[in-house]
Amino acid sequence: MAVPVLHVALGMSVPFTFGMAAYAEKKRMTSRMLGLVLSFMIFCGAFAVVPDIPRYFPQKHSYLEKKMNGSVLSNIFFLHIILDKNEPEDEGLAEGASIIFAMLFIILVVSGKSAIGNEKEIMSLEKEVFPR
Amino acid sequence: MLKHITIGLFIPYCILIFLYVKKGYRLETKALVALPYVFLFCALWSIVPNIISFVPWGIGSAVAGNSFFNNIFFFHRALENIPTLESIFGLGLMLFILFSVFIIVLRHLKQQEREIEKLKRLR
Repeated sequence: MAVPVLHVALGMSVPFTFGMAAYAEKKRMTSRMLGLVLSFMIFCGAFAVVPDIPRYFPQKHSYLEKKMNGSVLSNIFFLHIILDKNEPEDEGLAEGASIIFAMLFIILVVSGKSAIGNEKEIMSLEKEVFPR
Repeated sequence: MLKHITIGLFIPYCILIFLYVKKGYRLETKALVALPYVFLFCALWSIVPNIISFVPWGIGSAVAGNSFFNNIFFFHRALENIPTLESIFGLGLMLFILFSVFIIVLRHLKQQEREIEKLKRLR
């Protein structure tokens, strides 16, 4: 059974990939795009750990826990069952955290590049609007 | 290891927030560009003793066991002895730091876009 962080990382990687594909096409990260990518990353990260939620309330939801973790349908939650089967017991915290950190680092770098592009555009527009 | 990385990230984060507030809630593009690299450097710096301990023949563990050596790397040894700083807490704090930085970045990009729009209208 993999730790939730690994599931979160896998969930976050999907909107991240789409965001990077959009960036590669547009060559610019707009604020709207960044907001969308981050919101979807949070949403998909949370969605990926839905089958693990009943585990935190074992007395109340043991039936739900068994059903969610035993069904193949739970793979809707970003291959939750497949990941649980392939990852050894309670491992993957460091791997998951590194994947999340790497994704957020890449987004920060890309945003920085876009900010430089924006600044250049502002400077050239200022020269046009206010010629000296 | 995660808590060390988190503390490594927390120090430049505090400096960033201080500068951000001091400059009237505005971030310079230079700072924005340097930010991810500073974060990466500090995160790697904080886990140097962990990396060194992998050096074979006991050399690595002997060097990594030196308390003075450890304190340069964001109080590595001292943090190891704090049981309350569990890994999951570290991860939570790391995500909080990174997502709050993104709010600042988002605001900066929005300000730039607004400025571009304004200048385009004036042209």
